[in-house]
Amino acid sequence: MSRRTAPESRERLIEATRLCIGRFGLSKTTLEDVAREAKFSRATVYRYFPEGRDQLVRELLKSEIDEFAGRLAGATAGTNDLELAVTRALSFVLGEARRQNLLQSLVILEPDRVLPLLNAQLVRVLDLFRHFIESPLQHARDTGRLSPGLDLELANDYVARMLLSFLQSAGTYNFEDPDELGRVARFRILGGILAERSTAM
Amino acid sequence: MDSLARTPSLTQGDSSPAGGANAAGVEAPAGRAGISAPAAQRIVDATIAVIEERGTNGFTVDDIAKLAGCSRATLYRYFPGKESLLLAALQAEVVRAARGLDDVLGMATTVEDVVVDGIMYGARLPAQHKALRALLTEDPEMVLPYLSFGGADQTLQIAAATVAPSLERFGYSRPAAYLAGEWLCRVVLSYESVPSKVLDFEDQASVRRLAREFILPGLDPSATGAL
Repeated sequence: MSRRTAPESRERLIEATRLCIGRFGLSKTTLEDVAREAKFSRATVYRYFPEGRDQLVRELLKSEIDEFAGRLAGATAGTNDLELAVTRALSFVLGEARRQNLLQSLVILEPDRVLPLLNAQLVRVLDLFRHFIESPLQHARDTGRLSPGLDLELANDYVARMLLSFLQSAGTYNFEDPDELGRVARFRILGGILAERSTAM
Repeated sequence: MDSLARTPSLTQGDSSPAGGANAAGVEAPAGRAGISAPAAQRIVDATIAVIEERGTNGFTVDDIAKLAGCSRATLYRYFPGKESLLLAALQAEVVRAARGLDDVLGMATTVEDVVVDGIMYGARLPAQHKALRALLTEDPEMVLPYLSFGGADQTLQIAAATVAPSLERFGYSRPAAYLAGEWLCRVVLSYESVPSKVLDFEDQASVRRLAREFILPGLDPSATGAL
């Protein structure tokens, strides 16, 4: 009988949770369902997740966000140009919002249960966006493209927040128009940040 | 993905509206079609008063019926249970908030003031509307869908419709004004739901700085052309 490492077992349980929730929904998934799917005993499940079902769900959410982070990294890789990075991130975010994934379906079918959990993860997602925009922002500063006197931390915070906002809701922009996306990135999000857009207010 | 199918409308009861629309086009909540709205309104007012006093968990449907001066049967005809009462209370608070915002923005003398005053109004909403605050903190499952993901579309629309006339006054086209109103709502929702470590969102000077440096440059239609 092969020995499984602890991380492998945890991962197996999280994957089992994902499968069960996809099959039964969040509120109807029990710890027993997860144990059965993973072919572990209840006792084993509790060993890895002493807080039980709620902890499994929290860990699943964290795992989903980790995967999201990986996709975001892929989408924004290869450029240090701020405008391009933000445009790509915005495009990625809108694509994510349209994806048929577990989180999206849960948000639609069981928002009352899922959103409180998701909201706890929002800080993490915000940090992710900040992280990916930080280097292009610094590059823009170093190449003299930023508006004078701009606080980089505020700018990073603002861009990250607007990207997260579009992840949550595309609103009434017509993103079918490919130019619209670029305009929103360049003028709405970065309007005050990039120096070419002078303030003139 | 029609999440609106699951999330009830913020601006109407789940039945046909009988209330009037205010300047921002936001309908007042009403009871079921064919039954007099004033009674429903009394019930909703009573609900808000009780929530303000005792929170969302501190009362029963009977308490509301008594305060509204109607029978339990009448109340149930309009509102089948406590959950629908809470939703109606939320809808009424939204109407109140939209009217309050409209009043505040009506006094703005510059676009910058529209932006700053609008954001400050949103930032202070929970602090100044006791029932709304109670709903937010004690019934997050009901309220969160309107602040996050699918249901946020409704909140953005209501905010956009409320803010737009004030920007049209300053020469914005209607579509540009709507989009600008939506943007301001995004800002408020973001800084409210995840407090910032680098900006004090309840400080007007900080918000003014945010407006001048980040928001206004992206809002000015003459500068952004197609937007």
